[in-house]
Amino acid sequence: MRYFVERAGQRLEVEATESGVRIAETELNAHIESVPGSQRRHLRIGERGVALAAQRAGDDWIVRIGGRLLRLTVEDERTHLIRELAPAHGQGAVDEVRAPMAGLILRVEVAEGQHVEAGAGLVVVEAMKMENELRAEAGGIVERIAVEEGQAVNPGDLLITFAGDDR
Amino acid sequence: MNEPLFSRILVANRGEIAVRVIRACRELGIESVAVYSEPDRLAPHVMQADLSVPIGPARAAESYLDAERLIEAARRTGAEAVHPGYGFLAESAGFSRALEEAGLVFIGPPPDAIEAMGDKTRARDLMTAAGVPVIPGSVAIAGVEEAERAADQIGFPLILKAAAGGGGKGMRVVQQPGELASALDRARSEAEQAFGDGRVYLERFLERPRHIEIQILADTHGVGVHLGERECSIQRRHQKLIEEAPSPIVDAELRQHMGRVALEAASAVGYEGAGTVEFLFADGDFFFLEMNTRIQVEHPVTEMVTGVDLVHEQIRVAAGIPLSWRPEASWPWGHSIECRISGEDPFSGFLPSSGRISELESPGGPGVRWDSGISAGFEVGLHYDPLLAKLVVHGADREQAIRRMSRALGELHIGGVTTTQPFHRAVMQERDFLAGELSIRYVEDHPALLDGPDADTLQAAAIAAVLLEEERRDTPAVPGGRVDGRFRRGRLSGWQRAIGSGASGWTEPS
Repeated sequence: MRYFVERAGQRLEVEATESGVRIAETELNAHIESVPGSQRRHLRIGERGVALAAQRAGDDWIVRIGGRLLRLTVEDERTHLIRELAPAHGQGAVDEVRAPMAGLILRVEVAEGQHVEAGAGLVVVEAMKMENELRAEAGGIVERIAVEEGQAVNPGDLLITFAGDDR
Repeated sequence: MNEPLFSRILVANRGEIAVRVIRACRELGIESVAVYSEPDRLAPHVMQADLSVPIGPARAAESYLDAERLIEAARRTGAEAVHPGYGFLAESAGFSRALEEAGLVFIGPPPDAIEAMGDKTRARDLMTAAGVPVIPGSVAIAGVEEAERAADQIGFPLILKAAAGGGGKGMRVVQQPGELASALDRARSEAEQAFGDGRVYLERFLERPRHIEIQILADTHGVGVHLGERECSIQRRHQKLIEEAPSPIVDAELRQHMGRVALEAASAVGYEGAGTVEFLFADGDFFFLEMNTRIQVEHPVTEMVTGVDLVHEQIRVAAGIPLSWRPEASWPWGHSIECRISGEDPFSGFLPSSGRISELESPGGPGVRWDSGISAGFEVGLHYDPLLAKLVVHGADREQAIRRMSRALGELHIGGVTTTQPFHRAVMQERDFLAGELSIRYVEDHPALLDGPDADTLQAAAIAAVLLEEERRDTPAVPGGRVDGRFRRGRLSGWQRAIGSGASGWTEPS
């Protein structure tokens, strides 16, 4: 079966074959084995070994290689085609700022209805005793502020929604 | 083993430094007492200590920073001395005095020395008086107008620093006059929060200096020695990431010069025990930055190139034993590098990460030292410093040390938490690092270190993901639960079957 593997905008086509994989017309003899009771895997490409760890997360595979976490979306050809043909959705004008880490909201530096330029400070989150200022990626109007100062947040929590403008 | 030191020492810390001190105690035949907050009850430092005492909830202010509870724990266990590690109460003169009043020995410098060096503006004045070179700067300032006047004299760029602090908290670089007011605001707020003292001072900002520090050791009999330098230029937001000894640019003559100045700095405050005098080095000049009146995170690189166990020496000095050795002319022996393995994601701006350590394989082999505060199954939370472990190597020379570090980083596997490991691997191959061309701007000057994975790595990961996906789709439904990822295309070897079949009664698909 042919698969499309995507990571951060990069895409590789990998076809699973009887003896391994085919990538860009090249046949590679490849096998993977799992260490029982662990996420450890040993990938063999020909005689070359690569130690890694892998875990499924939702529809993705998270592969840890050299300490580096790579989240890979693996789609078979059919699913890929169906998705490509489906109309795009979720591209409204509303944008959100979510907490990138767990921490404490120290300061909210904007007000609802305020117009901010790209790069403007929005919220200061304290984590690990450091203050981290979240800045606007693009200009826009602050529609809603979902947190208040002193509040604890978890990664992914909604902080601010934006409306319109240059978004 | 023949000198009477202490029979029991309480370690008022957690993580890798608590483990480090407990190891030293055991080697000296001293019993160790660990203290722990609620989430740390199964932490490695607790598991390795002889005795352990709970001291409160996760919040450091109610546990590791609570002097009364620590003293009570020492009393209960009959500890005679307290080792504070670094961070927490290590540089609290008040804690040191409270211990003394309770009849306990503080393993560290006298409280007056902590106070003198702890107040950064006072330390500057003392150093200036002692003839130690300092960077031009201001006194502690309170208001914006005062800051503006001081900035006029010093010039831009300048840096704001917390008068009471260290370790990067409350520090802000100001490039232009227009940025001064808001930077002052933030620096003061950070300083207030971290140290309970919002005073900050201004200093001339050197563009690309190196961070070079001298390790000193002084006994209670008036003898002080220096153990050479460490270079800690690779930092991010003033937090060190990689340290090494010796520095690639310090020769024997400069080493002796800086060592003498560091000892003068220490003796100016009546220092005793292990301490570090930090300097910024630029264009052949060095300037006093601050003195850390405690054991430092990066102390192992000095231990590797001198053979001196600094924690043993701290304990001996605290017991009143005179230094029985003098620096060797042959120091430094070879080269040592330390990489701080932190629970931070280098590819997302070093944001802290948390989670359970699902798997841990630490590196080994020649010249490798692994100082760790984590174990498999341990939950890394966000309450404390993100430092998980330190990987330290020793080699005959810098090149061998770098190759060894690269090799050891390749062996390290930590599952469950995102760490700085891949950042370190990238540095070990970067040209300026290999050439020893470092400055405290190294990380921002080398954004390519944080680039995406190379093509080979990405391809290997993609192949692995596809093979695993195929395997998953082909895995037969097993009565009593799914068996994950151990079969390939339904053809099972006997070995896989023996391991994989938790449930019986299913047959191999044809």
